[in-house]
Amino acid sequence: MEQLPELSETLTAFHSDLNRIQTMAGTLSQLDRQHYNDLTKYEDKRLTGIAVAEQNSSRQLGEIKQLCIAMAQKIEEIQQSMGQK
Amino acid sequence: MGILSRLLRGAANEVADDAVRTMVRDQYTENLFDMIPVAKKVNPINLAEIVMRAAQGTPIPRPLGSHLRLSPWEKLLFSPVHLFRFPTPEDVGINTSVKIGPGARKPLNISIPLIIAGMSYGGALSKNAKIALARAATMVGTATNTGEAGLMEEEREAAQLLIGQYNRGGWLNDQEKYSRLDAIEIQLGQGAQGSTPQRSTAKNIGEEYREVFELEEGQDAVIHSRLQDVNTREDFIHLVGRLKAEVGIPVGLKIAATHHLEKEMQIALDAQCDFITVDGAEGGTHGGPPTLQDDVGLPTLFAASRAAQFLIKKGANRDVSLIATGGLVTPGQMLKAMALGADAVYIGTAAVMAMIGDQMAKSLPFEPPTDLTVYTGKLTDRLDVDKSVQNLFYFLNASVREMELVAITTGKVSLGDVNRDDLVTLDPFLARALKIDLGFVSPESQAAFFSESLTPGAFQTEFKEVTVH
Repeated sequence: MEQLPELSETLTAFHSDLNRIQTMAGTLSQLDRQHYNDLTKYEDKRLTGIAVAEQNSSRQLGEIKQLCIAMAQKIEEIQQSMGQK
Repeated sequence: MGILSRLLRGAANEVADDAVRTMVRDQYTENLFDMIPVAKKVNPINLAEIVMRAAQGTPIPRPLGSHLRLSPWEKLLFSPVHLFRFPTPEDVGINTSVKIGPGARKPLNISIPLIIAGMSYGGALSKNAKIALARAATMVGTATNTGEAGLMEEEREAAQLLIGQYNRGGWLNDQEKYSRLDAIEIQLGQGAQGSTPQRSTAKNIGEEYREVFELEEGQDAVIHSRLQDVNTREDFIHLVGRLKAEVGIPVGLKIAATHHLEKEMQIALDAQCDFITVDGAEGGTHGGPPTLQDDVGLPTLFAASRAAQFLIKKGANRDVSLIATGGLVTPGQMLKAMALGADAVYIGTAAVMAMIGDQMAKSLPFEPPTDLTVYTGKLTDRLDVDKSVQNLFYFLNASVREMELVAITTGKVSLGDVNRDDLVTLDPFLARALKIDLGFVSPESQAAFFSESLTPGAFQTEFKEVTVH
């Protein structure tokens, strides 16, 4: 069985990945918000339906971003408490 | 104009002429018009309910809660900004997410601050309606609530996030069931019914209902006034502690809003509840006695404000989430409840109405639209679940967008940042009670205005001048 890396290294890797996911979610959220603006310009019922779905996606991506920030902070706290021990 | 049309107009004219002549000539005591002042005196709703009580002899189950609007939401206004603080740029996303029960091991994260209220399968809604609510909630990333019911598998599957009510009927109170939830809400009361007992008679309970509630054939579904084995403050604290230890998800308390609010909340804080739900007097129900709806409880606006102020006073507002509910039907009302301190709001009646949406044409004019959604309705099979999901999804999206626009004009980047400072009122008593500014005078003049207005005899001079003239 492959040796598990040290906990502190794992946490650092998680922290880095969370930051990346957070950035991606933020970018995609902004993109979806722009899609909403673009699609509602036409005042077409079907396009407006797609725009609403994009707006909803934008919000949920915004939530993912917030969750990633909170989790990254938690990891920092764990790392700090590990460093103090 | 066709012959038929002319004939109908002629007939209508004759009937109207005859009605007017009768109304003018008959003695008032024998006059049909007598119904108008009588209906105005007792009001048409009270009149109808008087005759219903007289016909039935038992309390009448009025659906959807009180028609009285006791919370003066319209007297609160948000204050836009332009230069002193700038509005939020339109390309900045407004954060709409909320964490319920931040102190729990596994908090409940929702994408929008609107949650579908506890409307039980069987006791209130049909299976199709519950599934539609759950699917729409999942689409927008929020939670739905079981209401006082058992755990319906189809609802659990459709809902990404499910809050379950640990209830006074006992139908969800086994660990096997509540461990499958995303949050537990201990239900001790509701705005429309206080903490009274309720009963669904066996006659109205079908086979699936019996299965979900684990009832015997012929057995009524009974909600007691108290939770089984909770007869003291200590019993409640013990229950919350046990549930928290067992599940790790947020454990909260739901009560009917009451003037004893702070005393009730103190016990919830002592028990270390993760969230508290206050259901104002305007709260809906599947059907309950009008007296409980109109004459019992505390309006949602004051309940939300008092509850939030109490949590701040106790230093618990960051650890314990507050959910306000009861008669919140517009996005403005929902955001005002949040500005007063609620972290999120439950919506019930508005969600059901939105879900029905344009499908109400299927029931009108011979049946009420709610017949499509309530368990005992005659038209539940005609509810189009996919259409219902889309209707509610659109309603929730539009509502949150309107709330976001208020955040933009108040210069905020999160719905949770909109607060009392963004509100102003046109009622001096509300200003004092809610601790928000009065719109009559500038922010700097508030204290002076109230101290001058409250000086004994402040209004005396004006009164004397009037009487002299």
